[in-house]
Amino acid sequence: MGRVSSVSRRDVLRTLSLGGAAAALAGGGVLTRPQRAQAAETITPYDIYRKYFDPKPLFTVSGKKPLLMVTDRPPNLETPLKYLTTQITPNDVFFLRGRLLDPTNVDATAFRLKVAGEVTTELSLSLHDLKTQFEQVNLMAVNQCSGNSLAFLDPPASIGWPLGHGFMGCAVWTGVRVRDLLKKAGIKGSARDVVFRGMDRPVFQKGPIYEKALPTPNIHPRLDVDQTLNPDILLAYEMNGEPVPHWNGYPLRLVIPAVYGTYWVKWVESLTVLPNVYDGFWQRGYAYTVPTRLIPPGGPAPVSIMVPISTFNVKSVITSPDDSATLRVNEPIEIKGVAFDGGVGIKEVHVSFDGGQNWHEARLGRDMGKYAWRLWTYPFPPRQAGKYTVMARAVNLRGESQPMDPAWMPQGYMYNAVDAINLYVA
Amino acid sequence: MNRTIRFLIATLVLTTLPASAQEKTAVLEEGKKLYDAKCAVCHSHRYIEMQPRRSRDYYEKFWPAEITKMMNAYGAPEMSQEEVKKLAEYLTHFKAGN
Repeated sequence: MGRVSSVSRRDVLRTLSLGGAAAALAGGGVLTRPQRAQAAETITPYDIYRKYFDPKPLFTVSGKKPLLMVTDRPPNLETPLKYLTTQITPNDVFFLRGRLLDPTNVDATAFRLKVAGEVTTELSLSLHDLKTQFEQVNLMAVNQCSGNSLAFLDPPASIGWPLGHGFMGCAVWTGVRVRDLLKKAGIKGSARDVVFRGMDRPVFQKGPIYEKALPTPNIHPRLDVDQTLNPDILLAYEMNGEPVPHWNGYPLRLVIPAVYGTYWVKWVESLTVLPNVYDGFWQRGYAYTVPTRLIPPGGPAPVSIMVPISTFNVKSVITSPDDSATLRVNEPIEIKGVAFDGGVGIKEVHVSFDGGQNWHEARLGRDMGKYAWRLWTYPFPPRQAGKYTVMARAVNLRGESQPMDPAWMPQGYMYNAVDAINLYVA
Repeated sequence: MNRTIRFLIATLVLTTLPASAQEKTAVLEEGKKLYDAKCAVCHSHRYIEMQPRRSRDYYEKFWPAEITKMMNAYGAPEMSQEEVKKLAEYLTHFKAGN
């Protein structure tokens, strides 16, 4: 058989359907040939997921609805996208990240938070003390795991988890300012850093206890203790108006808005002011650290260029409909999603139906503060049968946006590539 | 092909395959016991089963490194090099392609 074309029949069909989609949607002309060629190559994150992973089963733990099981013991449960279409993520579907042995049967009346180290007066505070002696603060903020969306990397990250977009949620956190606690204790001049310790424990005594201090800004170094005095850093005892659920850190969890979840220590039992910069197990080597330069996909990162992970990058996620959903011709739907960044604020969200050639501005929901996510919608009237690829990207007030291809990291942290789903119109 | 050579190859295949298969089964059984004794205290079996479909070559490097990390950094029970090898073979055979 003679050579017909280097383009497969499947590619031609895909290209035609995308061209049709773009024309139907924008009401404009047909795509030019180079545009078609590029559009035909769109691979969605979900295509990559299916290449390497199987669908996740549902799993239930106390206080939660059935969630997507990443692992069952210790439990790491992902929120299905259908629960991420609202401004507030309910407590019973909020993701949970299990690591060590969670503390069981925490006695809220006997509980005392210790403030110790380089302070004038060490404190031991009950929950009642916290609620009555300090100003109560409410803050709406996104919590996102460092590894959220890591299963969309190709090749997969070394941790090998089938983790989609559901290791994130937006909640109202109520608690006291860490700053106010430190002021009451009185910080000595020798103070350099503050370390927060959780009540979860390693299985083996040799294993590391979960402790975190704020990441040192590597560009403009300053005293780390000053960062901890940021008035938006809270120790929260309530989440969405209810006690923080056990699996999210009852009775007290750290809330550091715009910063990855690894710093949001759960089950906090103490904060200790140190005379030195903290350099513990969970923020050195390859533990929650990121390379300071780009690494080729699949490549190693020398440990010498690794620094502790810090603030969120710009991210948008299409939360409805699900990838591969089937729609009907002339039955309009809304594409829905969320967008957030590291505390600067979302300016715009753009949606594309032609592989990124043309972008349309989505409608943003109400601005609920710089740490909350912004809901967005885009009407989609499918006028022709075929396969459609929908892409979404956000831009923040500083002009930062998302890459078409994710930055590869060995541990899969900070994924924020332009999101994409396939839709089938019949 | 010469009849004698064909016969020899056939004999070789018939006698060696079952033996190596048995040997492999024995290694996997020992590996499973090691998983139960050394890993299962912290990690459910899903930690193995959920791993991505990747090459045998990848996993033959990946699992020994993971096991060593668990012993050194997290205080997992010590194992001999021979045990690490058997456990790694057990962990590898779940998701490794060719």
